[in-house]
Amino acid sequence: MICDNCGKKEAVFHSKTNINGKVTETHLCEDCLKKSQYINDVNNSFENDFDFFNDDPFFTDNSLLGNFISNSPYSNKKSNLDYRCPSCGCSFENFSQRGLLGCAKCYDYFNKKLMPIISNMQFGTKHLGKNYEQTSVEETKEDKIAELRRKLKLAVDEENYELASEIKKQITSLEAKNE
Amino acid sequence: MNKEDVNQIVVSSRVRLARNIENFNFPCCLSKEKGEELRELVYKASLKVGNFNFYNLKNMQECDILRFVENGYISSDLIKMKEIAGLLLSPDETVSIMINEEDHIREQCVLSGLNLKKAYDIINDIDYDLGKNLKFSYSKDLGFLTACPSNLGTGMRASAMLFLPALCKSGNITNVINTVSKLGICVRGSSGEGTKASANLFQVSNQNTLGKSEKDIIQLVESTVLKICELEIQAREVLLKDNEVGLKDEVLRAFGIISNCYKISMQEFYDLIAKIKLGIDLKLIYIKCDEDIFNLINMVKPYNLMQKENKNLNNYECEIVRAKLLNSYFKNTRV
Repeated sequence: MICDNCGKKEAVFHSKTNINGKVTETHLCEDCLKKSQYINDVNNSFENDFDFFNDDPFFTDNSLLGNFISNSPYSNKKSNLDYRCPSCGCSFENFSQRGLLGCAKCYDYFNKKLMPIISNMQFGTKHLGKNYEQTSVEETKEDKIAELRRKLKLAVDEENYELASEIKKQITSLEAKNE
Repeated sequence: MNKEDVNQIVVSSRVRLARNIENFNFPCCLSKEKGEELRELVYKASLKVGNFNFYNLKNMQECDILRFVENGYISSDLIKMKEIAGLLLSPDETVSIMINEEDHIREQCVLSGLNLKKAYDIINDIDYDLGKNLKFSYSKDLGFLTACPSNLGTGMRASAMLFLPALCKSGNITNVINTVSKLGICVRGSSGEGTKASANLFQVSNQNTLGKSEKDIIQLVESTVLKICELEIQAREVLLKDNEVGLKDEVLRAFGIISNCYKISMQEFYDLIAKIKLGIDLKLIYIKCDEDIFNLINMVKPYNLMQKENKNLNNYECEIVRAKLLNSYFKNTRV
């Protein structure tokens, strides 16, 4: 199999990753692997987010992987190509430094690394508090009218009478509906 | 232990909820434009929830912002987010909602005395209405999603401010702090994380937010608070029995200084007011006033004094104005 990155050499690294149900296959040659973020991530991992090598018998022996990483010139360096949350762009290192996640999606993306931390700092890992379900975001007629009245007041305050009269028309037409 | 005893020790109760809104990065990673958009969104939602005064921190004068910090409506961390930060404050000032602090929304209700359940009910109603008009980040397993995993789940911190002079004097306060910390309770200085205990005031709150219901957390904090109250009352009895004369002398000296000084620092004020408050609680001294003398604490802080005097004051001028205010406050009291 040819390397995904350079498209020239034979791939020696094969992985399947499953992120939120989306399966991605990666095949890299030795040189591209050394340059890639995978080295950094395996090296930094105390628990990996990704199922390395699970589907490839060649890599089922972890000692091989251990050897490979410790011999790698990148083994003690941190790469800039750390995994980042696809939604906000924050890395796990960002979280380690400031103690804050970048967005709600980070909880999905860094789930495996976060869960032991959460389990250590909390009573448990399951929410037992109140349930939340947003009942309705749709504005009712009254909501719309209230919002228009607020805009009308602002327009009058700013002496923008043209806009005010336009808003007033909208209010009248809304009020006339279904009456 | 009767309610009056408890309310002598528990100065106030506070419940806060942390919430975030879907499809926006958490404030630490939010652009100025998105932050402003979010502030507007929360403000609009609040119009449908209740009657709040809205403050855009960007348009506020520094002294007003710092006065809000002194009064506990906002945290000093909110100032760091000034460009995108906002505050919604109820007219009676018991409910405040910070916008774009560590989380998008921090709703809090503060009531006097031991009143955690009521404070929760008030803030929960507001949270329910806000949650109808905004889409909160929530997962079934992890609950309300917060910027720091330490607030995950309920997003709730229930705390009570306790006045513990006898436990401080006896030195047992360290034991109390160590013991309750094993129950998932955190005891901190009066102004929260990393602060010293001014005027023997301590904040007692739940350490964890995930894995228990709001009701259970409140019960845990309340039962711990009551246990600490019991220990404080016992320590006060011992104190009185061992050295009533010495104690009374200390209280009256404090009263003498506070009602006659020409200038006074905040630190000295804290020391004296703690002694006087203990004297009142133990009925060693009678002071005729309509309100809790701990209400004085915020009144004599620098930015509150500046607002009252309607001018900027340096530290030295503050000390003089503070002394003047205290002299007149205690002038008509009988000892």
